[in-house]
Amino acid sequence: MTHRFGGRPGLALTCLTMMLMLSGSEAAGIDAAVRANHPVQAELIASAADIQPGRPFWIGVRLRMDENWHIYWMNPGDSGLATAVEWRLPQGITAGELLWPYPQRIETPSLVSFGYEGEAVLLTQMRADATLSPGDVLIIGARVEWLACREECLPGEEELVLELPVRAGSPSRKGLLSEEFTAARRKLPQNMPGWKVNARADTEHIRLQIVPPRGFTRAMERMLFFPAMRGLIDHGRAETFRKTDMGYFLEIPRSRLTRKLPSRLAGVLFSDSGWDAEGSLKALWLDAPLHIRK
Amino acid sequence: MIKHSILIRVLMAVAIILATIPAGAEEAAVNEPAPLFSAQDILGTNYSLADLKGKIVVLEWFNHGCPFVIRHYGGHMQELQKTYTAKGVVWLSICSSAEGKQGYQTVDQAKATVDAKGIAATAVILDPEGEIGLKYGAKTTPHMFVIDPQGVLVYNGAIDDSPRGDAAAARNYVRAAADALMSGQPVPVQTSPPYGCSVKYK
Repeated sequence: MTHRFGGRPGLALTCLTMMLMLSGSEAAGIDAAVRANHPVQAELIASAADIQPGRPFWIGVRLRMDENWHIYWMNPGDSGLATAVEWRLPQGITAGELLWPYPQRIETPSLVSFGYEGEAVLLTQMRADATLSPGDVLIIGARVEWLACREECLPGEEELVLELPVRAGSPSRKGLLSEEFTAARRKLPQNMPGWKVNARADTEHIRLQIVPPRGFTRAMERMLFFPAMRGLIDHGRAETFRKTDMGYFLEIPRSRLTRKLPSRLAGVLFSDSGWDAEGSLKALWLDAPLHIRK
Repeated sequence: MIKHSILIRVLMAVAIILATIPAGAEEAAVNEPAPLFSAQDILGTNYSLADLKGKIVVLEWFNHGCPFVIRHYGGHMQELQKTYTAKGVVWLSICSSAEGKQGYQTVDQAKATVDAKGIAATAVILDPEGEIGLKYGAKTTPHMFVIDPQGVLVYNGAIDDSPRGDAAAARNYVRAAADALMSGQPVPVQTSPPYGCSVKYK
């Protein structure tokens, strides 16, 4: 199933292509020139230089945004469109779930979106069949679509490929990339079993009681909740965050545009203070029953 | 000692205010009277919601450069406008881009856009101060509102259920709401999260 953005590639890109054609550029050079002028550069990266039969590996979709441009998280917030990745995989390779780094709040007058500025690496763990033949070269492909916005918005899409040889033995690491993967994985929201979150909703608000693990003594700064579901929050009304006897309290105004609540509240709880003892894990993945009071 | 504790209380209050995220456009509630407004369109005609009682009114948030708007103006938005204005619906396309921001147009530029796109709305209204947009909590382009002949807001949300534009599968909420009102049926879907480009408020 392909998702085209309205069946219409970016208008500005089309214009640029036409301009380049008029100026007499070689056909082969146009694609690269157009890509170089889009505010987002997309690339596939791998956690190792080769694939071992039967051994899982990581693939990342790395998106680099020009200054002031952003793309969107799985829930784009008030505006925008979630970035989409559709894998094109050879036989013997299967993709796990697409894992999103925690997003940023992107605030414009009166509105809040959830997305990424600078760089984002979307990660997926791949399974490699034990029957893969050493010596083969596999082509990992992905069709990636995004909406890039600063003030104006430009859709983008690209077919990305990465060739990886199959080799027996242990994987050859590329030093730089494994560092990059470690950094990317640190940005994935984590399950933090010690933290207890109770989620309740009434007609106006979603209220979270957040209780730290026993022995957790550091004070937490402001917490932000990024719901996985679109249209859950009304950013037009203020959130409240405060310390309580038990831990922390976060009150989030519900959107009037989503009446039917999910039975579980899923999303990212972000705090710059960090959720682990060292304060290095900034994002907790929340998936808790949502108690609804009518 | 007492002074100290007052200072701490003040600091705590400040901390709570700092932790509160500034509010912006509040969402207009369905099944309540639609926020009233009065504005001149690009041709100089005055439109006041209070004067439009007795008619179904559709409000469409518009930005000529937004890819979502461009997609919808591939033909089906104009078709929808023609179909429903022919049935007596008042369709107001509103642009809340502030001066200097993307999507802002002068009256003459907006007139040229109407011609170029074949916009078939009843009227196009420029709202560069964002007054109407903020009254309704318009978030995106397109963001759609349907008001019944009694002046009650009966729909607030997306134009359809297809942010990515899988047109074949799309269910158009504005069409559904207008059809329901015309046949005396309850509006089937009254709210949905709108999608599109952000409204470029000042």
